[in-house]
Amino acid sequence: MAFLAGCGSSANPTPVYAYSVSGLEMSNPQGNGPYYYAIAGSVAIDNQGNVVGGEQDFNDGAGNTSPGDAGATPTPDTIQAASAALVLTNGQGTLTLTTNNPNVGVNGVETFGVQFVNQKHALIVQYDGTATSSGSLDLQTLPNQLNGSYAFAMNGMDPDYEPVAFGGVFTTGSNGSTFSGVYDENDGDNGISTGNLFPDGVAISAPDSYGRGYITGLGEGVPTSIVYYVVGAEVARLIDVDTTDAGLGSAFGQGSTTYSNGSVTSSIFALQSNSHGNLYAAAGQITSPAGGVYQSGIADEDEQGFVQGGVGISGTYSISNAVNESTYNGYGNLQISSEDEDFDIANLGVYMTDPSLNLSDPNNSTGGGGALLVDLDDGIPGAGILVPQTDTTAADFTGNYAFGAQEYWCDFCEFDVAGQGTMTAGAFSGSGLLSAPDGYVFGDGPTESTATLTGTPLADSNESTTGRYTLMTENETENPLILTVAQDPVDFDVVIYQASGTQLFWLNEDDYSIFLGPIQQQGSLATLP
Amino acid sequence: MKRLIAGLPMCALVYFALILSPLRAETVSKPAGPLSYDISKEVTFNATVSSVLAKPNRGMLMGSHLLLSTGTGSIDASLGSFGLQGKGAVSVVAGQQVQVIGVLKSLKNKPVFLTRIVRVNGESYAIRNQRGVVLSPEARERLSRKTAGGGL
Repeated sequence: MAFLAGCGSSANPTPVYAYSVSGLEMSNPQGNGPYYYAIAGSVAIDNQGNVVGGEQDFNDGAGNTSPGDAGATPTPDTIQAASAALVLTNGQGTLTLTTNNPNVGVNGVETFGVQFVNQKHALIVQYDGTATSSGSLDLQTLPNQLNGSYAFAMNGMDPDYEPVAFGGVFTTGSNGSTFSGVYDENDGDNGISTGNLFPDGVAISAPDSYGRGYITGLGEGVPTSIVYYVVGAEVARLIDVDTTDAGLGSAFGQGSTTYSNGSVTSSIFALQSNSHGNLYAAAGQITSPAGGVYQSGIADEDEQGFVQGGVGISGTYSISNAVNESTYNGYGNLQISSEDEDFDIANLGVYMTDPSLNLSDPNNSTGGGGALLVDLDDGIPGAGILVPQTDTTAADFTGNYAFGAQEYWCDFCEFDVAGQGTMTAGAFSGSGLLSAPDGYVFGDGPTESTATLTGTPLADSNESTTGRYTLMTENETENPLILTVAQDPVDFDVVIYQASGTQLFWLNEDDYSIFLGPIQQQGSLATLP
Repeated sequence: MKRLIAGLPMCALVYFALILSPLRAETVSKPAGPLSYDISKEVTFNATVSSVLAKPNRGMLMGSHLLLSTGTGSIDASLGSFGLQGKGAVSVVAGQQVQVIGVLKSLKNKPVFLTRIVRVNGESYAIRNQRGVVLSPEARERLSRKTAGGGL
């Protein structure tokens, strides 16, 4: 295989990218949709934008699973070579993947809207009218395999087609020669359980040339088969490939750190239900945690249109906890006490990751690690991340940024957007690719369109402490985020939390819509096709 | 995905509870949130449908709603994102008598009824599960297969 780094010409290997998305699928023939769905895959794309080859797994857990995944040995769909499949203008464009599975995309052809953040990382949305979703595309370092200690989290649908999220930590030897760990689960049907140990007999297959392998035998409450795609030595994307349930997530390495309560610093958290669950999203900040206690913080939540904005929080946390008298490194939890009793996020599972990782951009060594999160509050399964807050200086929120948003709009509908813009003198202006296949967003408007986003974030009076900004109709000077498609503007009340000048998160909190997404400072896009 | 406990007979549940208990650290509990669903607080009442809202009015929870008239006033009954959508959706029009089962909450100082079951014209429609999680058309169909013959 000539495309892989280390397998082909080492001087000019073909870049290989792992990609994954989850969202709502419109095209399932069973007739009970839209359904939750997830895709994870790997594709080799040369420097002219030609797809050389690839493979992927698709699953909605409701009759549309990659056919090969239904067998005892999960086998992926294949992606065929195609010319000019990645077409970009200044880092934004489309990626067209032609698969051998006629049940995905348009007769097997998927199109993704792509927004590169830098040469190794892009935000993507499915962009072909058959589904909408958000995710990422990241350069892979191959060959590599799962080997060591990892935190993981997944979000999806259980066998009753009710929402479920689970996460924890595991340690594995080379190619799964050993496997042990612990996980928590929040199941919309069965409730919450913590401290579940993986059984003996978990099997991890060796990755193939695209970094794909599979994990089986994980035990009760979690998928029978999970496929992984290695991004690098410490990062893998995970997809549930069972035919009756579905989910997507990631595993991040824990490195050689021994985690304690001292490992948690001032941080931003961001978490969200999946597209088919009890819809909610939340973001917030915890300040100066020490000794298992944080005295202050601030948070926002929108749950089914019921908004709690700018709520003061405090709480406790515990890292590296014991189960059955065995301590699991980086297996923790965090509790949130709110000044507003209506704030619904109170219990989070916390799974610590290597400080040399960036959870939003796995090829970026800055970011300070942080943790994966699972919401362990009854009835609202969700997952997210906790990232160190290292720079709240408003002046550092400036320059070129890529952004993404997964928007739960009205009921049973979704749109997703990925784009780029500039933050100049306190004003944001950008344009993105917006996918709205159900047509609910703008009436009978186009299902794929270019959107402009403008706004002037207002820093909170204590922003230097919190890193929080607002774009609100209720601010003294109205300043909502304005999203315009086909000259039809819609305003959104949005808060932004700044982890640093390079990494922020925005949360929409209207009674008719909810979104969460990243804002990531762009790097060089010079060598992209 | 294998379920942790669902679908097992009671004797098996007891058995597994005994043999699996060392594997479990704890079950998390939390204070009741505004949208939390405490089935012990469920109420059942009859009402007349005054309006069927496929989309919410401003200030309402997302999803569809029934505005109900009772002998003591009116109430907003939330049907969640899927109540009027897809297979198994509630079939009801203004003026019909319904029986609803759910939990009454106060959100933004306004009463909202989180509906779990709607009964109309002799049919029962599952809206939420016993944890208050809204049921999609696919979830309703799987639930009906599990409970076939047993009713809701």
